[in-house]
Formats: sequence, structure tokens, C-alpha cells
Amino acid sequence: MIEAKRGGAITEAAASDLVRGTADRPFAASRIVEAGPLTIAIHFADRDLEALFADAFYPAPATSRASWSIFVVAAGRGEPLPLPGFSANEPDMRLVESADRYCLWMGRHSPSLYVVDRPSRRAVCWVTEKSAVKAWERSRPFLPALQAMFDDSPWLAVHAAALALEGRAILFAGPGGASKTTLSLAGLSAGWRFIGDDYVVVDSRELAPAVAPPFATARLRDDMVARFPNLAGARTAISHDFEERRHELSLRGIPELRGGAARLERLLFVERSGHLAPDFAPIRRSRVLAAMAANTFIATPGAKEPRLRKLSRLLMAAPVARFDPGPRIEDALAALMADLR
Amino acid sequence: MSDTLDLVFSASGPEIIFENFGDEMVIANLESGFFYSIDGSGADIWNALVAGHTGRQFASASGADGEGPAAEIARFIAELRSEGLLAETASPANPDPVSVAGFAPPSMQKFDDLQGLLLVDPIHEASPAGWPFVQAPGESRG
Repeated sequence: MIEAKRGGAITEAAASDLVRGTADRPFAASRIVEAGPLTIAIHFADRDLEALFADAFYPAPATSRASWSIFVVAAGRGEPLPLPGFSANEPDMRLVESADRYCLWMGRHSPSLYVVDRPSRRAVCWVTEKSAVKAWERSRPFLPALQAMFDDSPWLAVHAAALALEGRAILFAGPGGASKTTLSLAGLSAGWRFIGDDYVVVDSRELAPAVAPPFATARLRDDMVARFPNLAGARTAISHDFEERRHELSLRGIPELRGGAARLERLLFVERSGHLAPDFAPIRRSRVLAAMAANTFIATPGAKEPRLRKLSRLLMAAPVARFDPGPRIEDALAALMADLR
Repeated sequence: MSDTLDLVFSASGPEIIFENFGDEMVIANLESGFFYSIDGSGADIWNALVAGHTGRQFASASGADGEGPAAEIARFIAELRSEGLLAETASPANPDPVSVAGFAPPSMQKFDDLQGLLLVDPIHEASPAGWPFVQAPGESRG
């Protein structure tokens, strides 16, 4: 039985109490990591949770001080979700947010409840069943919670890949299967800086658009493996989410890779249209906005209006084009390099 | 048609967001998940309507008060209404002059990327009234 408002402070207080109470528990391991513009202290209740999530992030530079904390805990067997109005039996996502707090149950997608408490700059990831955490979530942990942490900044996590050359970055948006991962990992192999192949964070300020990695991971389909033998050592697991075999990569051990932002010079909507050579073409910003907003809103529910405003600012801040990489990725990279210069 | 041109509208709710990219305007319905790209004089018409002007005031200011252009404006307004982007209001029309450069037939393209995803993957959100409240046993709702 759920009603709106009148006494809503009771539930909001429950979220706040949950974060405070969780932070007071003992934790088996802690890491200081960098996720886009944030330095975060992640505390794991046990070593299994650390093994699940910790290597998906770049470590923060030794001198960094964490500005946020995430406490990752696993529920006991049969333990209910610790917030009124939320049930672990609910298959759909459930979101409750206010200016100060953000609570998201992931439903069928993940056995996770995220609670972000903005005033204390602390968050809880409550995992109901460790063995049910899917590979995609291990490759990009806590993404909706990170997005909620970005909300009071110009930064936004977006579904896109990105590469940089000499500090100047290209963002690749577009539908799945258009070669975003192939392009970004081919760029890594060719000496570009790999920023991300799935989700990256963008600074939407018009005078200084930038892009940074939230995660140190990539996910290869089987048909891409032969192309990147140099990344074999980065493989951590083979996963089978959604009946698709993926090679999960942790890139944090690759010395030339790191966190930190690169200036965004170009936003390309990658879409194959049968060109026999790399091709740039005009595209309407509305088309790009609709596609990017869709993936952003579904993967990271909440705060739709301010996040849409950030996306819109991003599309005004960087030149936008449609890009067909053509059949040869090497040619595509050469075309991108020429375009940057 | 003529009635439509004389009505006063506003955006139909806080879920209707619009952004001007210079060469096009995007209107988003964050509730339904539909996005709309607006071309021609569509952005000027939208801006005039949400500022409280009528379609007829816009037609007059833009020199589009001939039968054909006026019908184009009425058709466009009807399309915005049928998509749930505009709601009629009882307010009097804004008497200020409408600022507009000229007239080009308005058009609208609809994108359903988000709507399609929301259909297969609904996200239940708390009502705009606030956080959920679980009633304690025996507590009166008052």
C-alpha cells in the first residue's frame, strides 16, 4: 500500500537512515577509484563483492581525496529490501527520487537497490543475490547511482564510446552493432587513448565540452576477438547475458590508460549505410538527441528534464555528424584522424 | 480551422520540454517518450503559442494570414494538440506584438526511440506529489 506525499518524509528519512546505518557497518575492503569527474571511496562488505565490482574502475591518483562514498553490501538470505515501498519481487524498475535522495530498484535487470543520499554524499548498493549479478553490471557497476551523483554537476553519463588523440576526443553515439566498440578498441590498438566503448561521461558545458571514462572495462563479442589479440591478457571472464557471448575486459592494467577528461571535439552518430569508404554526412541534432536520450533514460532512470538539458547543451557544444565507418576499420580511423586535424 | 487559430494554449504540462537548436526545435514529451523535430516556422509558432499568442496573431505578424498559410498554421496547431503537446487555456491572448521574421510551412517529425524502450521496460516512478508513504497500522488517513 503506497500513497503519495503526506508523511513522505518518513520514507525519505528511511533512506537516509539506511545510508547512515550501512556506513556504520564493518567493511572487508575499500578502494579509492575515479569515475569521470568524481573520486569515490567504495567500501565492500565482503571480498566476493570486491571481486565482482572493484576492477571495473580506474584507481584514483594517490593524492586524490574521495568526494563520495559507496557502500556495497549483500542481503542475507530472504532478507527484504530495506526501504518501505520497495520489494525484491517486483520485476520492473522502481524509482523514487527527491532533490536530496535517489532510490532505484533494478527489477529484472539486476538484483540491486541503489540509494543515493546527496546531502551526505554517500550511497548504498544493496545486492540481494550476488550470484545473480550479470556480467554487464560487473562491467559498469552502480551506473544509475553514479548518474545521480553527477546530477548536481554539468556531467552526464551517456551511452556512447569515445577515443582521444593528443587530448582531443571524439564521441561515438548510435545504435548497437554500428561498430562503436570495434572503433574504440581499434583506436586503442592504434595508439589512440581509449575512453570507453559503452558508457562514458561528458561535461556538457558549452565552452568546455569534455569526455572521461567512468569505467576501465570493455566487452567484446566473439566475432571481435580475433581482431584484438593484444587484449587477450585483459580478459577477466566470458559472459552469456541475453544469450550473447561476450569477452569481459578489464583495462585498468594497461599502462597507457587512465582516468581524466579529454576535450570533446566532435560528436559522431555512427550508423552504417552501405558506404564503401568512411563517410561523414550531416545529421539533425533532434535525431541524435532522441537516440541518446532514450538509452540514457532507460539505463539511468530519473531527473529526465535536467539530463535532457545537459544532452541538448552537449549537442550545441560539439559539432555533430553522421559517420559510416565503411568496411575497413583502419580506413575509418585514418578518416577520423584527418577529421580531427 | 478558424476556431483553432483563435484559441489560447500552453504547453500541456511540465513533462513537455522544448529546446531550440537554431536550425530546428525539439519538443520532448518526457511522459510518453516521444520526441518531435520542428521545422519551418514551427518553432516560431510554438514559441508564440506558449507565450500566450493565438495562431491568428502569429499569422498576422508573419504575413501568413492568407487562406493557404493560415490553414497550414491551423493544421500544425491541430497536430500539436493531437500529440498532447498543447492544451487549451482560458487565459486571454497575450496582447504584446508577436516577434517573427517570416513564414515557412511548419512541419513535424516524430521519434519514438524512448517510447519504444519504455514499452518493453517500464520504470515506475513516484508521483510528482512526492515520496511514497506507507501507512502505519491504525493510522488515520485524515
